[in-house]
Amino acid sequence: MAIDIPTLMNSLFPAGTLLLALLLIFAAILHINNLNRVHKLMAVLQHKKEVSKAIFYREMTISQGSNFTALALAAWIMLSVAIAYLYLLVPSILPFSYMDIAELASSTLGFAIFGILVACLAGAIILFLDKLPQDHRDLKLMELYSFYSISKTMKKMISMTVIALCISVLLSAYIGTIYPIHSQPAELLSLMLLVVSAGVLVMPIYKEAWEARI
Amino acid sequence: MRLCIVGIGGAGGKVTQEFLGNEDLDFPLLSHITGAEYVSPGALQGIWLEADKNDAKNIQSFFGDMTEGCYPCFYIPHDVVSDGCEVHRLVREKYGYDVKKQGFVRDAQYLKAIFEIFDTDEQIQETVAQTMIKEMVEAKGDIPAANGSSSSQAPNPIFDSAWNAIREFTTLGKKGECDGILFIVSFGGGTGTGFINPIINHIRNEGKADYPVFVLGILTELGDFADKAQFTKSGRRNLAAISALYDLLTKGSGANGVIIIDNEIMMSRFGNDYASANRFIHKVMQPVVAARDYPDEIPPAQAIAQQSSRGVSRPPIFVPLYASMPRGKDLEEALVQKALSDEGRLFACTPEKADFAMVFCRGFIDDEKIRTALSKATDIPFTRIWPMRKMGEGENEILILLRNPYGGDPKAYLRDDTLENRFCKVISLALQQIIQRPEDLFYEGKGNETVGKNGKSDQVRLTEMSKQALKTFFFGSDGSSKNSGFVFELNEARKRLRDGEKPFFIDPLRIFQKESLVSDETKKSHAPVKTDEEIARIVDARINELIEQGLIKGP
Repeated sequence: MAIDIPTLMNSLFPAGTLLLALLLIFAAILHINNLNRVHKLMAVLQHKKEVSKAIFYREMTISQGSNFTALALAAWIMLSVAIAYLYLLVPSILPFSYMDIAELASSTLGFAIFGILVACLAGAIILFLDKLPQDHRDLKLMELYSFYSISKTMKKMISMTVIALCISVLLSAYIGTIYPIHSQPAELLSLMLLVVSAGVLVMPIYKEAWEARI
Repeated sequence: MRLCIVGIGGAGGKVTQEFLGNEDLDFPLLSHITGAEYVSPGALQGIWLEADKNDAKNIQSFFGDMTEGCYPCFYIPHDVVSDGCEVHRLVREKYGYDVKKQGFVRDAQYLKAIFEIFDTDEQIQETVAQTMIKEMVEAKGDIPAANGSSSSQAPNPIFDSAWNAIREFTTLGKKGECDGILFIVSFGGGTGTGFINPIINHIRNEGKADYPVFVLGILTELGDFADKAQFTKSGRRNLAAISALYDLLTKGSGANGVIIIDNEIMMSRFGNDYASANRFIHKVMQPVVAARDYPDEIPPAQAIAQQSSRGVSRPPIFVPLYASMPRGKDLEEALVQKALSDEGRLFACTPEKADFAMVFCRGFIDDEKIRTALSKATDIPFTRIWPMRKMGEGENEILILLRNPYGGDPKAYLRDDTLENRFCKVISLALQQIIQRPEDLFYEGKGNETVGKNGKSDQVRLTEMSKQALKTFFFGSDGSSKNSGFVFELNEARKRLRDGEKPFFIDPLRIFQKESLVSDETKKSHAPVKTDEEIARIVDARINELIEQGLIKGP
């Protein structure tokens, strides 16, 4: 059976998008599940009816270092920016886009303003989540990695995603610049960098879920 | 429990390095922006005490100089005594000891002697008080009294400064957070074996009698494999090892426990790959030092220290047994069995003879099942097994620390897999070294001469007074080794091991005596003077025995 290359290429982007969405959704579910499972396990192993969540989270969190935390936070913000750039900069995927605000989008600092706005929004959400009560520390993105044991190599990989995501943003900006012309390779490469970076960012969650599968 | 890891000597430093790695990413520029602090796993802190300045400054790069504000850091205690100063000169003239030479002399008695000189000699104490005011203020934070004595103990620049360096990381310091100390030494080198007892004595004499202090020691192998790495011969290594262990195990108010690992076992697993062996020791200790305690379960170090030495009048030996397995349900018994097998033992022992066990678990483990499995396998009473748990990562792990797992069997020393056998071998090699090379005890043998940086001979030339003190220490007051002295005590210890007696080291020995302690009556009876704390521990042990026998009710 002959492979229809253009059809294959056209289906890669939606498939990649679906993979990215599933990767992040499942990571969120698994993260909450990981913590709930350990919390319940504590009660069973300590022969108690219930273990206080605040105390449980206090014992479970470990410091991963300020440099790593700063870089991981930057990576998550960059991930938000990269996603916004790929899907919201031009209307090739969604029916609406930043290009709808034509005057702002075509100004000298148009793309940069968009990126900064998205980054500020992501930062605001992260800060809001950080203000949640101690019982909901599992939802705080700033503390995400403190619940997991992360090797130095893994930390380096997570910090390196900032660079990969920067490249993804640049590629998306290129797509926005040449719009309405399409560049499928640029779109796919940008998406691939996004998927790989997202995968690295949530890898500790999947690793823990895998190790605890028994 | 949060421990301050103190590595002493070359090998101690290399193992300590494994504990003190930085969890954070090392980006100096970013660190400057984020104000990042050095974060070790388990929030451990620590220091490396070393005597070899060249090794510390030029050969390794992990530790920086503490005096330059680096962390993780090394500290050279004898640097506090400047070359050629009055104290340096006086000790050399009066005793022949060069206080700046320790570590290069590969035995445990060298530093023991120096510690006791400062502890007993009033003239030296006065000289320290008069000529080293600035150094002592830096070392201790106070000026020694004019008569040479401080509020707590005689001024001792080397150990005062070393303790001062360590204290900063402990809750006894101004900003420290560690509630206990774990000394890591190699029993076989020069610095570790020499330094470990004086520094613990110094901590205790400072009035910190109840501060938790544990020792993790790696006992040197029997053959000559380590001769090159340790720069010394097998006999001498074993003499240094047994000297250090003797002092550690007889000092009633000393360490709260001596965890001992056999380098023979390490070598059988890792050959001459010392780096892998060091990593393994770090891995084995993870259930003790890692973060993530079970909520409200791990007690402070002080409670662990009290429990570990409860009922015994001398510091106990703890034999570590380690096992790890992939996570799974109902694996507790399998973990215990694996730890008790030859694969899990890090020192020869008879688990059934242990009188108490601390079980550090890491992972998702049921403590009741661990207790049941260990009690069933070893006959240690259920109530004498104390599990402590931490949440884990990857595999489930347990580290069983068996207290004094030996004794009660007169034939045990004949079997290769017993603690009695291993200690008998070390004692025999040490005695052989003393008999075959007595000149080495006084630093007069050929191998004791080294050439210093200035090209002059660095050989130690003891004075007659020191030689006599050492002779009495080794061979007793009559020189026959038949009634007293270290040789006599070692022979007696070997006899006790062969008879299955517990403990096997009994009486603490000194090279230089404190006049106040040596009353005529004591001299006659050779009975050691017991401190209040030792008496309290003996009474405590007897009460526990009576409770166990059901003669009196427990609290």
